[in-house]
Amino acid sequence: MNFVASFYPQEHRTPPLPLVALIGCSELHREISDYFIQHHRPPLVFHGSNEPLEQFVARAFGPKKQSPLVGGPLPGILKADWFAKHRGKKPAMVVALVERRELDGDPSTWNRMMYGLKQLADAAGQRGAGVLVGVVQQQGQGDLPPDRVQAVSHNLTLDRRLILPLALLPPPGVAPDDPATRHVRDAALTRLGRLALELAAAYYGRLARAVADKAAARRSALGGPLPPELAARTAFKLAVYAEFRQDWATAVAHYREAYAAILAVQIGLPPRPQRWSEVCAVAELVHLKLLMLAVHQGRLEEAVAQVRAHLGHFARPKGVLPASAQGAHLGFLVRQYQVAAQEVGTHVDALPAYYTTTTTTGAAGTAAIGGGGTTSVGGGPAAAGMTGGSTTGAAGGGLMQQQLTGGGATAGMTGTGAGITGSGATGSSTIVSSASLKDCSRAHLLMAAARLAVARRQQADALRAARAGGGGALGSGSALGSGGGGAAALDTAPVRRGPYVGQLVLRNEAAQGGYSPLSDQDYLLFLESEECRLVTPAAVIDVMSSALLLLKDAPGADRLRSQLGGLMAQEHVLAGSLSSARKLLLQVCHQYRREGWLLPLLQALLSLRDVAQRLRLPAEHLCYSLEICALANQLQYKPAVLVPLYGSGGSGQHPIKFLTAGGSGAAVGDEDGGDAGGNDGNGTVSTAISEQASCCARLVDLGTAMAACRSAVQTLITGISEIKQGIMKTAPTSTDGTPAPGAGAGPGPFSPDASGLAPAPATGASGGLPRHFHYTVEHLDLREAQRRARDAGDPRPVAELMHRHTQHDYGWSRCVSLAAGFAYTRPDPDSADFYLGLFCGLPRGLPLKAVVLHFADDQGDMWVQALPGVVPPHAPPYPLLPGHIGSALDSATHSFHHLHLNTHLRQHPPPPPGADGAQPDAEPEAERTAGHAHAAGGPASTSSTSGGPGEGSATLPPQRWTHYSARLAPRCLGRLRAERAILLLSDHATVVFKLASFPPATAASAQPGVLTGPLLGGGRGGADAAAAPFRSVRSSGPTGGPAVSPGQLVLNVAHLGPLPSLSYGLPSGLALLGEHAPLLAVLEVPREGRPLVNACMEFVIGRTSGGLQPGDIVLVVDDAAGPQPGLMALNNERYRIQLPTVQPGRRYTVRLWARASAAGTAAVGAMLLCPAQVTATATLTFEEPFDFKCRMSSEVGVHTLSLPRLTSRDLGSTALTIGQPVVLTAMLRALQPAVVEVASAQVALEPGSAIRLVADPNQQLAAHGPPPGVGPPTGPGGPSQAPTSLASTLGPDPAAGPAGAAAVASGALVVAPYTRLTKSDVMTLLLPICPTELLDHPRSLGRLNIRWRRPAGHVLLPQQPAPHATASGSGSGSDAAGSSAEDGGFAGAEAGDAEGQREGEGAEGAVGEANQRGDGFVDPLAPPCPDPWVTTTLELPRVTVAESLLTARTVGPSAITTGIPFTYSLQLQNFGTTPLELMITLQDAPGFACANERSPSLSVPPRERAGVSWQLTASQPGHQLLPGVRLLAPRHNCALTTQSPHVYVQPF
Amino acid sequence: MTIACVAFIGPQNNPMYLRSLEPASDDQYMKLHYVVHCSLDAVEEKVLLKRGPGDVQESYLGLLYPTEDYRVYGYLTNTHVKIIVLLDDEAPVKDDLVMRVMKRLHNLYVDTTSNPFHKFGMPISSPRFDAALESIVSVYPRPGGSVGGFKT
Repeated sequence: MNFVASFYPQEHRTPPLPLVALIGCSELHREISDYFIQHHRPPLVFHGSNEPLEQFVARAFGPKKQSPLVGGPLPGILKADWFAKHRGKKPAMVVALVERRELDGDPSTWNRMMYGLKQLADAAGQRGAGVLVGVVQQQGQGDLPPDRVQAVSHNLTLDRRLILPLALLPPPGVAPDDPATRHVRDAALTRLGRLALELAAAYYGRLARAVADKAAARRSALGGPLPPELAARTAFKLAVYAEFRQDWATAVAHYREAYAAILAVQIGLPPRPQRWSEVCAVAELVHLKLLMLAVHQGRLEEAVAQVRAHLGHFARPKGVLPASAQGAHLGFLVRQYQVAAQEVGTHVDALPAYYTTTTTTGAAGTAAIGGGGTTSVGGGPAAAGMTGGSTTGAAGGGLMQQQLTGGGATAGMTGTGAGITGSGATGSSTIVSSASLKDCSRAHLLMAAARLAVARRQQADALRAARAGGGGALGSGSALGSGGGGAAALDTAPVRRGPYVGQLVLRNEAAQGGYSPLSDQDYLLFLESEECRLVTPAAVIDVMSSALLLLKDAPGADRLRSQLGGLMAQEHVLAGSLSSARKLLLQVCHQYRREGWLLPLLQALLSLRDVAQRLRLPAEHLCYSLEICALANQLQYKPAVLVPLYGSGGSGQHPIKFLTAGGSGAAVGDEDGGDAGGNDGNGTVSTAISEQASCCARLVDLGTAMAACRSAVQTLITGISEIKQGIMKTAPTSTDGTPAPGAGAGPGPFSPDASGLAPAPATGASGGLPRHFHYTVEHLDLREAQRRARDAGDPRPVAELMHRHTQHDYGWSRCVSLAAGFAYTRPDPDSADFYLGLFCGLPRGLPLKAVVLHFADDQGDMWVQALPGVVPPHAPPYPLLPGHIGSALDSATHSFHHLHLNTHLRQHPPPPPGADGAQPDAEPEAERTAGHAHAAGGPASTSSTSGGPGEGSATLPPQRWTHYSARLAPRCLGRLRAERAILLLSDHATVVFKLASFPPATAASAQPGVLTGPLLGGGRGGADAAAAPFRSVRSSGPTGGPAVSPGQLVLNVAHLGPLPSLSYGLPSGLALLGEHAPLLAVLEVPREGRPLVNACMEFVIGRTSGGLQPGDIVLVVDDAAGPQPGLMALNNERYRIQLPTVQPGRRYTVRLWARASAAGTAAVGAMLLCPAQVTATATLTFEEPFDFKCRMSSEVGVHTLSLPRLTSRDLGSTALTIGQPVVLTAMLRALQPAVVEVASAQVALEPGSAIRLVADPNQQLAAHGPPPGVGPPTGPGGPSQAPTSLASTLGPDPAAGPAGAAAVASGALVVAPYTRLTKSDVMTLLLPICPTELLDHPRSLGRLNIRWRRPAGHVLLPQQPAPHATASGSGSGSDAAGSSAEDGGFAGAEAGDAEGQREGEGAEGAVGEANQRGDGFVDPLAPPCPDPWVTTTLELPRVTVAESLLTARTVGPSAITTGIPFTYSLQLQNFGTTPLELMITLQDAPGFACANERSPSLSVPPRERAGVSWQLTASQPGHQLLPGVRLLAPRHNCALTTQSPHVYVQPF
Repeated sequence: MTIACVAFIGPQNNPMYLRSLEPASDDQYMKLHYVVHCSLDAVEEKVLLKRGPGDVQESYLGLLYPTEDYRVYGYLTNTHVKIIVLLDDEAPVKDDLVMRVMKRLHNLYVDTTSNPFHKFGMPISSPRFDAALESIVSVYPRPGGSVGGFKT
């Protein structure tokens, strides 16, 4: 809503624009005026006139009225039409449009034109207005004839530049909207606008100077300052003239002067109403101007300061205004707040949390009105000019900011001397919190406007009441009061606005001018008439609706909106729109309920109850009445000893008297515990509590509330049709919509008359009226509901959402709070206990016929009656109510269910004899029947009896927790949800708590599990109710801890009956690396348990140690009962298998195999999900089966001369030479005490390692070890799977991987015969290889794959775990069982031997047991089983291959005889591509003599062989070392010395 | 600095303690309720504005907003208990002074909640708390009161 537009005329709310008159060429007027409004900046108002010239001249430039300089009292401050006159009637200049042909025309045309122009120029000149002659011509006609221009200029005494051609007409044949044409036209108009602006500024400057001169003359004539009225008028005119010049800074300064002068206007004490109204009206006008200028220049702080100052000055008039004037003034204030909210509040709301403000210092920013040397025209107290010319604002000044600078230049030109530039000022930026401006936010301003509107309406009501009542005490200053009651209202039709702003006149034909001023009395009568006529609740609602509309999406104003909604609802009530009031009050109550603001809630509830009464909503009326009673009771401070007094009808002292009198010695239970004792029993109570109680007591009288409560309770018993009749009788005003007497005075005291809650007779049902009271407490997440509604394209208001979810916001919860939850532990596996705590917050007991609980599980719904008290330890589960009865309970149309239900409700059964042994203080039957209540504020006791005197057994005692409980047998596994708690208050009243709709209880809430959350807070009652609801219900176990888990409304039934046990059967020996170590997971269902149906078991590799990672282990599960029976290999993942049905007393075994690729220890976890979790863990240790060593040796006597290596040799690698055969000796030693049968050894050379086998390994190699076995194994499963021939091993071994496959393709296959190894046995493999390519970097030769298995008779077997004598009760027990099986080892297997036999007889469907041998072992090789063969992959050594220059081989005879010469030769072969020069030296040997040259030189051609021979003779018999040969290749800087072989020298 | 009202608001925006430090009529007392209740809007706005990553919410929230009659100051504890103080000065008050009062009130609240019988989030109804609060507030003069023999 645009308040400014609706309150003020356009000339007040928009900046004034210079007015330019257009004369001549009337067909162009519209085009020109449109251009200057829409396209020209700054815009100009060109007003075309079609009047005859004489008429126009007389109107626009007629003679000026002369006013005396000093006269009598001024008739007013500001003329009402002055502004409009200057904006619309008095042009600043005139533009005379003449056609070119007139200028160029014949003498008669010329003379006629000149006559008109002369007349115009003379008239304008007399008023100081400017004249401009525009010669309209076609485009392209060229310049004006200079002689004619000179003539016009001379005749009119006009500057030649003010005669300008206007090429507005398109050339012949060209459309007017042609862009080129338009461009030329715009250029001409722009020149015209520039000149017009200049002339207008000069005109308004002259006017300003004239006003200032006139003021100075008057001041000098008076010999002192001007009267405030005159000063205000003068400053206002100067400000407006400055605005015309767009000199905004000067305008602000003058407006401030005007405002200050207005404040100084004498109003009188007590204020004269007319004068006060006039001052307010003028101040409002100036205030609006100041606001708009400040906001548009981005000076928000100044605007806020102006708002504060304005409201501060005019909020309260000095002295007392008459009532009617006071009402009118309130209307004025409402307008001010609304305008401020729109103009300033919008910008304040948009501010960031912190913003930068610039404050300027220095005198340079001080405005000075320089015209005529006078600097001030006002004598007011605040007539100082504008200070702090901060022309730079943080927020963008926008267009106005730019105009401000331009305006300054213009002002200088016009000579008004406004020196406000601010350029010389020094500014400093500071960061300011926007919170300091929040009082001018929209929300607060509109809220204040709403309050004032309410006050105005109340004032008008008082006026109406006084008029209706023949006069009244409306205050000492009331004209009505003084004038006598029943004065006739003034006919407001002849009253008109006066000639001055804020004045009214009366049409009077006899008076001069037709109007006469209003007398004070008439004025007040007029105001009174207007107030009585216009100010109605509907008008107030309009104010509030506009506020709510503006605040609809305003962030951070939720609570303010609630407050505003409360106010608005009151007005709706008065206006008779009760439905709207109800919707608003529902939202307001929801807000206050949600946050626990009890006093505002109480106030809103009183209104809401009144609305419900008038709307004839008996159920709502009843609810609100009860809630008010509970709330009033909660807000009152009551010592504990006074509770019975309340119950006895208020015969005791009123609590407020206790408060004010300091109590009567009652010991007050201070929350400090023992602190109360130190207060000398004075009934000391917190001041804050007493303040609240005092305020509450004045809102609601507790005694009356008690009576109302009693009546409401009685209604619940007898049926609400009674109260409905009562409401219809006591709501006479609801039909015509007029407000009830006294309803407008706010929430009055609670009285039976007003409430309609007079005790109703307990009669039977009235014919045709509904009797039943049905209330549903349901949690509604309002924000979520709103979001869903928005998403669904249903933008319903909040009230609609709330209406759809009736009674959602815990209104009833204040009367009866509810806490619920399952017991922490289940009494047995087949039943569950559910507890309900009911806290009656009413001041008296509430009838309660029965409590029915609604549960739901996977099989559907079930209803159980809850009995009072605690469930006896060995009580059987309660029987379920019939389904059709239960389903009718939670529907609102259950008129019959009580009749049927009565036959099904249980009488409270006595506890079974001896069943309370575990609970010594279990209550007897009488107590259980009476209800299990305890005072929450007192000690935790369960021995309380009935709720109060005079109340039957079916009564919820007030201010106490009462316990109800039920034991039910879950029907199936899964979630058992508590859906509803249905309280059958009587045969006609039902309250349903939708438990499932509430969010889960959180520890952060004040009372976990109590559905009302924080709403119970407040007052002493809140503290009582906040006590733990189930603290008196203790567990029957030895620990005696809390029994109930409040807030736990869902029970996961994981299992019914005793839990099955789960244990492991571990391997009987060591598990070797790579083999499938068998395991058994044995599930045993106790005999007394239920069949295990749809259970599943989950396996996972748990923790590992000793270098073993979870990824190193593969677990193979025999999923025999799955959809695809077979083996399933898992690698570090969780796997779940489905179990078949296992009958009680049976076992089921799942076979597992674990295979590790690294040594270490791993835990295999199994979890039985039935769906309870039973876990067992087995620990397996995997050991290395073999120790592996490699040796490499080359051929004897062959030496290689290699080039020196540039890189350092890598450690751990063996250097080989190209072409030199090497024999690799691989030795395999069995490490573990287990018999291993090696089937084959396969060498898989690395494909890129440039190593080739020398020959067919089948012929070249042999395995040397212990004697081979008797042949291929013949054990179970062995013959068919073991390689029986060499050919069967020739296939690629899958375990060797792609590298192995490549090696096989190259024929690198080594096969060893079947060999059995026991601990420390060694098997040796020989492998001749030959490097064929260079290999600079160390690289593995490849792998040796040993294929082995455990032979028959030595297979690793799993143990069968010992059966469990009794079923373990929980998962932890199974854990223990699993660990015991884990630790039991072989002993457990032996113990389970006989049992296994027995179990095996009856096992049905148990896979493992079918494969179980009689000795307690389960055959792991029974199909299906993993491959028993294991391939162990061993890494061959790393080698480097170097290039060989040549090979030297020393060859000597094998037998030498002393003294007989023999030939000792050196055979060389050059492998290189270059000839090799060698220096060969035969070294000395002690037993040999050389016959020829010992050191020859030799050149070996490339790829050629050569040799050197020496004739040696042995001189000594025996074993001798032949002489070595040293070869030196000087060019390659490498040398070689052969190793000398030993020979035996025979004696001669 | 004149303190007109002190309020402790629970973490769920429920009033735990609200006391007018000057004699107040019912309307004025209700008005205090509404002012304090509406100040929670400003508290939430201030807290929401500090939600940037790494922002540390300062306990002292400063001036929440001025009204015609009061200046409303706020303080937020780590447990989201809000302390609202209404000053009825029109002149600006130094933040240090208000912060000192807030800290003392916070300490008082901590002392009170340290009582093992106190339930967190529940209304405070302790005369000892009243007395301590009175001693804190009495340091700051009220209109018409005298300090050191001089009329304030």
